[in-house]
Amino acid sequence: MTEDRSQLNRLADHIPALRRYARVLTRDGRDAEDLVQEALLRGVDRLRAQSDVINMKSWLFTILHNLFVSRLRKARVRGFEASLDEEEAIQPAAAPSQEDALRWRDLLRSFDTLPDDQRQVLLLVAVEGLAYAEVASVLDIPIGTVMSRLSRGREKLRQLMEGDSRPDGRPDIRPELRRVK
Amino acid sequence: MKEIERAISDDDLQAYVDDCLDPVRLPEVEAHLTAHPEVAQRLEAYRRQRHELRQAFAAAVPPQPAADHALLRQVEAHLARRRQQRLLAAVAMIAVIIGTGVGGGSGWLLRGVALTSGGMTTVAGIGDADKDLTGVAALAEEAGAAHLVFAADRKRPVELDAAHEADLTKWLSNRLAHPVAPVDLAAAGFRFMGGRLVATDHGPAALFMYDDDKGTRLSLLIRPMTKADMEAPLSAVKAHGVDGYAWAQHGIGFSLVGAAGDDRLQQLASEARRQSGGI
Repeated sequence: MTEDRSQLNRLADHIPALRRYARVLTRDGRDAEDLVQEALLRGVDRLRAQSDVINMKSWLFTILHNLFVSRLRKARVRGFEASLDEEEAIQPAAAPSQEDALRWRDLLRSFDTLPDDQRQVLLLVAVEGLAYAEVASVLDIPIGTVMSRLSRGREKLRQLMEGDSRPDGRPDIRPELRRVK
Repeated sequence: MKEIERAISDDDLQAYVDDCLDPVRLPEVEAHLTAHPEVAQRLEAYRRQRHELRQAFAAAVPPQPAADHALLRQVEAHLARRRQQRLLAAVAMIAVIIGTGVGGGSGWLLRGVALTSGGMTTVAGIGDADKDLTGVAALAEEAGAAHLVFAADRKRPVELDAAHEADLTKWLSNRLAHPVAPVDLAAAGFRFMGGRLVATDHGPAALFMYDDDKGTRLSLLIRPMTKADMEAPLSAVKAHGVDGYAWAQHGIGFSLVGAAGDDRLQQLASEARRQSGGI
């Protein structure tokens, strides 16, 4: 019982972060909660066999991500293409000031127009504070891919927010960045 | 060996934004930014963006303590089920050992984990205690599992106590989309303690808890029935080693479980059933 209790406490700390990532993955609040729940259940099952989890947060993100990917695959096999693009944007629930609330809403709306792979990396790095290597492990991609998605996502979002709309959304990498000083 | 002349890459700039740049590299990047104010400006925008994304997500996905709590209760119930399954598997293993040792004479133990006899339904299987159960059998299984988890909790068996009965009743009725209320078992010596919402495989359920002067606790689980047993007579059930009774009226299922002794439990269940008929 005590062992279970400590496991529960370890999980509890990360529920809000899992919920944020699930929202980014699913773009749907209801599916997100369901995904978080299943990830937690899988998490406790695996904790039993794997008691040496050091970075609980990124470990749980990995479970959540894999769960999402496998659900998506199943949905596709069944012939129901998961609607990833035209879902409603994440809406801020509460805000201290009108001005902030509006800006955050705009920011999240712009964020939601980014490609999924960029949104995932941007959330994990910028919001959740994961190390690049951890993100690479969660998404099971090379670290170079993490970096390029991060770079593209950041730049695209900046342009969207500054009204500097470039339809191709490609980052504006200046040539001198690549040049030896 | 110092590579002062190394090119500043985009990766360096990202790492600068995320404050995870190699300290050795930091002065070089800073020098680069001084020489290229437009790049510095862009990185500043990224930092601002990171800050605002955090704020925006905090507002869009606010803390949800009640939902957290519900999730953890589900995990808890899941763990309790697992524990039960391991226990049953161990019992079955011992039964196999005894069975082979004695020569088949104890073979009944193997079947004993899932038998039905004399009108009593014993709900428990090896490895999949809740496999495909429907009707009042599923209800009894859920009541037993919930009772194991919550009645054993000395500190916080209920989420809202008897003093908040009105809030509790309103909350549970809303969540079940059906009016539910605790029955009054005081005449039989059981005080109403309070209750909580619990998750079952068949949706949300209300759990009301009672205790007597000896500290014996009873759990009454109530939820809408899904398919089978929309109406079911009072019947004795046993799930997860917990004795009880279950019945259904007008599509609402009830299961009263606990260690009150069979005769007393039957009387209590009959009384609860009589009262709940008016709900």
